[in-house]
Amino acid sequence: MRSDSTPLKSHNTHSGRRSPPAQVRDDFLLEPPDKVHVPVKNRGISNRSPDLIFIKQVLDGDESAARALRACYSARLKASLCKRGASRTEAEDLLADLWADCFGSSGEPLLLKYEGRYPLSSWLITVVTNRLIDFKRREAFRRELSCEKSVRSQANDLDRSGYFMARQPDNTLVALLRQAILNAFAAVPREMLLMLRLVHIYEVTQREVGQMWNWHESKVSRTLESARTKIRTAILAELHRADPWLTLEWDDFVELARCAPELVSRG
Amino acid sequence: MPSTVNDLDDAPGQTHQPTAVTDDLTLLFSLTEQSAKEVVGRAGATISPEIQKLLAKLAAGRCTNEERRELIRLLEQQPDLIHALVREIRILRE
Repeated sequence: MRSDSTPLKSHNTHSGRRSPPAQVRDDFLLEPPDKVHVPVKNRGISNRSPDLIFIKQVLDGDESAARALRACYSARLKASLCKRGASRTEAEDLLADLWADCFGSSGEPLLLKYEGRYPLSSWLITVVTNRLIDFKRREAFRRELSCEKSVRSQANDLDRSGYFMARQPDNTLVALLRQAILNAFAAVPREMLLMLRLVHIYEVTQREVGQMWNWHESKVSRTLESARTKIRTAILAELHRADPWLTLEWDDFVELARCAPELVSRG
Repeated sequence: MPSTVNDLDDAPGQTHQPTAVTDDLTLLFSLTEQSAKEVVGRAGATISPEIQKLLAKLAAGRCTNEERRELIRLLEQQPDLIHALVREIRILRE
């Protein structure tokens, strides 16, 4: 979905935390969805982000800023792409497309979507990794299609390729990451998953979890750490299963998981 | 994005301020919660007094193993119930 406003136009995203109305405990009423709040620290555009100021210069037509952008990130992005499974040629092609889109060669400049929430380097690598995955999948489909040609009519092939070969929206990566996480969570006993959810989302302390299960805090700590390790391992294995050519380390995954939802939310 | 315990009503006189855990696991949950919200949609729901009582027992560590297992299964089916459980935990912090 595409937002009407651009992140570089001034609009207030720091509207402050809404306080839910007081509820009487005995009402036993769950909060409706529109009262699920995003912590202030996780939302909004940081207009003070040096990267955002830099990108604004680029978009304002500052040629030296545009040159600096490419000079600063091209080598780094290419190295990351190659490390993640792209050939040298694929990396160069993807980067050429990326820079062309960044500067708006085929419409609205991609850089308008940068909101400054994360470092520019993380955002760029997330965008280009998404494109790499999409490209590799389309390539695999193209190969599969050519194998099928002997049994399918050319007209059908064209129909299918017209549908499948267009570049997919920016949610390829998000879908991949989410599915890997969901599969990893599904492999964890529901009891442990609840403990993790309480600790990581709701800021329940390990001592309180221990009280609920009648466990010592140290047992909770060991159990949760073991579950975290299993989840991390399972996620990387799941990513490898889905796209065997894709090489990601845990830190890579975290960086992508942090930035990828923004690609979707910004269309 | 997920809610946090801070979104729940503050208990009067609360002094306990747990440290926020903002790490990679928090990130994983935020991605999946977002996904679940999109797919399922969510609506306010009423909790029966029996379930509320059981949640209070769970928070206080007074559930039998069987009750705990049953509640955990229920929490998986109705993820919004976790708000009520967290509220009970916070009440015990007072």
